[in-house]
Amino acid sequence: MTEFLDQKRPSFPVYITIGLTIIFFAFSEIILRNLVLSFLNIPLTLMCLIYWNMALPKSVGLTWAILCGFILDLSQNLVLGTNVMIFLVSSYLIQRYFHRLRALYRVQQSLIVAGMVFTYQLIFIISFLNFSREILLELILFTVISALIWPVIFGLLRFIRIKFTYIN
Amino acid sequence: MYNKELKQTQISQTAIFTTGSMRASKILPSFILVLTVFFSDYFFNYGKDIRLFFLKTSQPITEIPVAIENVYDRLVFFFSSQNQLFNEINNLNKEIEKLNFEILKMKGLENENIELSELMNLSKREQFSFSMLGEIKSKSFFPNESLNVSTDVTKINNNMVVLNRNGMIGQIDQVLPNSVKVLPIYEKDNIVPAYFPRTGLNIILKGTGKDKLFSIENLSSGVNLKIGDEIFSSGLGGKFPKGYLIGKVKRISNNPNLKFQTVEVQSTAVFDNGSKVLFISP
Repeated sequence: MTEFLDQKRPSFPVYITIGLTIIFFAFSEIILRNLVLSFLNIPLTLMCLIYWNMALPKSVGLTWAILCGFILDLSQNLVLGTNVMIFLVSSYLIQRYFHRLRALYRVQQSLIVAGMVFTYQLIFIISFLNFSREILLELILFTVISALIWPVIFGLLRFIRIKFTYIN
Repeated sequence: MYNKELKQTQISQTAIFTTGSMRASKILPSFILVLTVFFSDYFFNYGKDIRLFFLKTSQPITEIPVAIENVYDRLVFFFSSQNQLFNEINNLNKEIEKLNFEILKMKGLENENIELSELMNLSKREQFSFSMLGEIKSKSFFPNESLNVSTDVTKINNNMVVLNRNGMIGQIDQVLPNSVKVLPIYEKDNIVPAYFPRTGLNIILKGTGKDKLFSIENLSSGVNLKIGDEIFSSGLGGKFPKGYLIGKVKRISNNPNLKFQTVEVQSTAVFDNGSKVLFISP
């Protein structure tokens, strides 16, 4: 009865695909940070992590979250573990409630993502005790941008997931 | 159809059997490990070397935007400077054209001045009873050659002769309200008294109206002529000044049975040369 399910193997190891996309997003974020030269940035890595935790909670491990968190800490010259802790908590929360999040409309998901991005950025602002008007404007701006590009990131990663990790 | 069912089965199976199974106990060891790293880095700065190493190794990637920006700047600079050079070359070429035109104008002016000074010298040297300068306004070419010359027409009369820097060229045909119409000296049926310096013989030249040619009237066949003999104005009759080269013998037809010989003389007058003329009364 379930023989056809056994034939369905990923064309490319899921774990590697997830890792590669997360690393790609992490480096994109670093490049974007150097390009924009602002205090805050669009947290592409976090958004990528949110997607994979939501789409394949069984496959995505904590290793990639830890690795990418360290890469971001090193690139931003932060104390090691700052990003990692946020990523771990995010992964935990998303995996905890992934089937509820999956059922949401894309707009609702965007709002959840915006909330997470807002909190993520706010942690940095608080840790650096930097509350200037420009920074707060950046916070709002990047939160809105993140919410707007979430459907794009979702679509892109979904396409990658379907294209590379399944045999039809 | 089969694939669609397969997907639906898989999704429903995942939905049923996969629950929010992440427990705090699963994440806790990782979290404690990260916290340890965090505090040890915070208090003892253990990550300093790793950070330096990472920054050094990731420099090529992090500097990609800078490199792109540099390449873009270089490209823009290259094309803008290239464009600037093209514009500069075009402007310089236009300036060269303008200067060439100016040079031509200046050369024209210089020629006019030379011409004028030659004519003034001529006037002074020859001591004509009357002379006046005129400026050529327009020229008509063969077969109806003529010049339209502007001058003070009140002092001009129909008996005057016209000279340019090359010599005698014509005579006045009509005095118009503001200008004078001048016909060439070799105009058809125009008569010019002349002589051969070699023999001292006086002759009458008659314009043929054919390509700057004169014919010699009633020249006896006994007169010794050679092709190339020069003929000068004799000044007889008082209209044309004496001693100006009129032409050279071009062709001689000497029939022993005839009393007169036929001689063709090529005029040396350069009718349409220059821009200034001198009206004179000898």
